[in-house]
Amino acid sequence: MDWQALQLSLQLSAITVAILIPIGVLTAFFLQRSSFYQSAMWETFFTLPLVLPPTVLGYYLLVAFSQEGLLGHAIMQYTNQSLVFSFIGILLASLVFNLPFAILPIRRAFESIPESLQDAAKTCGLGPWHQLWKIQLPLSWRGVVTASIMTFTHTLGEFGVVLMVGGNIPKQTRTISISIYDAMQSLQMAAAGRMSLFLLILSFLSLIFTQFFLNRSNSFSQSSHA
Amino acid sequence: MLKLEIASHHPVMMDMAFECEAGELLALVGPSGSGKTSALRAIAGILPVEHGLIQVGNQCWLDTANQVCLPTEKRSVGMVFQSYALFPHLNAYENICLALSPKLTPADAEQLLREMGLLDLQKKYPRELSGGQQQRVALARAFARQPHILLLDEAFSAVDHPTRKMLYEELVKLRGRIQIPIVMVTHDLREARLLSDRMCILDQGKTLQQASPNHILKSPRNQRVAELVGLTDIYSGTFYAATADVSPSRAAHLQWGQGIHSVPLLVTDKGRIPDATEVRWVVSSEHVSLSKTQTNQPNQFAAVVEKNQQLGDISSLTLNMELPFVSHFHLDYSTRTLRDLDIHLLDRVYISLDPLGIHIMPIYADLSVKADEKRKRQQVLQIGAVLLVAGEGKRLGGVPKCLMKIENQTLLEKHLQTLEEFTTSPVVVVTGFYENEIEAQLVGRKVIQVKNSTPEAGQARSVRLGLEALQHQAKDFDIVIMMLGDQPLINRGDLRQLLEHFKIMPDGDFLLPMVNGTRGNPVLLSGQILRQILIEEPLMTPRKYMDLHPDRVRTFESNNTHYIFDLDTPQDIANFEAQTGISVFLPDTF
Repeated sequence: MDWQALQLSLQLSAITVAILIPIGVLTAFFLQRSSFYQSAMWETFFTLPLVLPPTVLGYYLLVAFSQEGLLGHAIMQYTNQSLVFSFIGILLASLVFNLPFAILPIRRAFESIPESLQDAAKTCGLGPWHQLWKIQLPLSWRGVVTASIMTFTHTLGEFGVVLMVGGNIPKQTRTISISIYDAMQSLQMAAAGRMSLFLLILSFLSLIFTQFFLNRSNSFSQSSHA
Repeated sequence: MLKLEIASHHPVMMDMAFECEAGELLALVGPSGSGKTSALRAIAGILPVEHGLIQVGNQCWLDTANQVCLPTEKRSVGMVFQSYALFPHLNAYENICLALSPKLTPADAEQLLREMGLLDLQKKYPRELSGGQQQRVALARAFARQPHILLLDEAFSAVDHPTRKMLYEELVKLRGRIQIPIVMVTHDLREARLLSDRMCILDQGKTLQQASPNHILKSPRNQRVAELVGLTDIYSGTFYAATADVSPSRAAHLQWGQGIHSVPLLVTDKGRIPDATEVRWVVSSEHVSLSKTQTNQPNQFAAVVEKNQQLGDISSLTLNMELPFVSHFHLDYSTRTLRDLDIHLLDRVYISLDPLGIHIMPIYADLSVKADEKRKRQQVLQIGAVLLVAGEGKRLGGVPKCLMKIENQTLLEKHLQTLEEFTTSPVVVVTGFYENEIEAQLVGRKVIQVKNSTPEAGQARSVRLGLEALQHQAKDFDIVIMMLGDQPLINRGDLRQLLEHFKIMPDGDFLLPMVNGTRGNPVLLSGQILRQILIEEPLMTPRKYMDLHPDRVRTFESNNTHYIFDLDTPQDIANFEAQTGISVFLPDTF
């Protein structure tokens, strides 16, 4: 078991969730208030990482992160650090490829709030931010939790993009899925098996959690609407 | 007070205007899709409006002309939704506090809970409350904002009857607390009548009438309003206006029903409806009286009591009328009076309709269509007419049918009089058989007589000659009336109806009256088609042209048997005399 890789993976996942969930909430909030065409455009854009091959996404990220790329160049200038083959690089990549996992569940949860409740919130005198804070978020916590779990587990398991952008540098970019690949390459089947089993159990548990815990705890939004 | 004027096509079609005073409860009533809820949402600012003005008190919430549009949270509204719309993650107290006006303290919220009898339930979540309790919380929440207007969107429809009654009481109690306009949307007429000071009837996004419930029920503005407020007995008839010289008391008459079976009713003329107009009418129960014997009251008809449903003080009667064109008459009558009059089931009674209580309404048409129709109606048109009187009258033993006399007037005179009222040039009279006798009757009249020398060859030739003579007057006719000389019942009302219909027809060149699937007469055709027919083959007639070009023909569907009744056989005459009681005098046999 490559504990170092596991630690790095957990670290990467946690930071991704911490940054991406507030972004997801705000994006869902703005999407809900934009016109149909605008929100359809943005939603398509945010969903792209879900359908693009990781290599394609990895390629574009590499282009952006390289010293000739806009982002890579700017970061290099200000921090004197390269984005390629660095933890910051794979964190940025992780933020990009997890966009749909963070935004879509929250967006769906916002949408599922009955229109009458949203109208009622307005007629109670709540402005947009108060509506978000006092009504929308409490009523869609389930979507927020789902988004967090999905983002976390997806980051743990992501391989292609991380390998392309970060390579395989211990302590910096070697995540657990890359470590499994590495073990396989060097024919350490037992180690690969242990790590795979660990990821399997973790994914299974998080899905079970989403399925059971979220559905069992009484839903507010189901309770009062005829 | 609330003042609202909205004209919007998107997202919802609305063309409405209404007002509601402070302390007044206005009920918006209409079928689904009439725009009631949209109006409420527009007031609250939840629904965008293209053009409009909404003022509440001295605040302007919307004025599209001056680009004023307050967001919902800045409009001080209290709104109660059909589905309660309580926030499920907050308990009753928190729900109320969320809407609490900044001027109020949590103690005030508690006071509100106490007044609504909700103090024991304040810690309960909406899912733990019954429908009625939830709606009381919703009402309290609406009042917690200290709103300038209260909006109730089908607020009582989701709860059972006893709870609804209780909520009505709560509402009445709360109304006493603050003097604000209250606008209520409901599809329940009883609710609207019970609670509202005024009703506003909406249909297809438009305001049709706004008045007190009683006024609307007694005097619906038109047929559509009458239908929407649930009046079941809406009758049809033709209104004949009062003529000042004959009737200084403005007593007009209404021909109830259509065709030979119709009966006259005495009514009052409010000066709103033009003469000889097809109308609908209603009469409110309080203007109907019953008796067991015939009296000298006007508008009295015999009927048999077919059903009597006693609902406490009021009995709901179904009367089987002894009139051929109306089967039932429904009447709410005082149970006590019925008892005093000794009226029972299956008794024969006389019902009298007070002329003052007969409310006459124009037939409803869409407003934009109405404006267009008005413009078309007001056009000055060139109207010509051909009267066909060439027949031999063989089945009556050979008589000029147009010289039969009814009520001291020959049919020919009657028809010419009727036609001359509408035509802008002399009527063309086509004679064949008995041309000399008919000509003698035409002396001194401004008509053009055309003689068909071969009337035995059929009507087509006469028609053709008539049209040619008309065309020869070199007038650019807009409408041509083709009329037969043996239809005793055709009167100016019938002709006016056809002409008015022709004027507003969106397209088509012929107008053919149809009565229960039978083609009637007279037929109206456009001047354009007259010219078209005349350049076709020599035997082309309107009938033939109509058969060849059915797409150009429009029908005027009616129950009015005037259009199909003619005096062709002795049997026709016998029927006519039996049904109308009017004698027909044949001219001396020739």
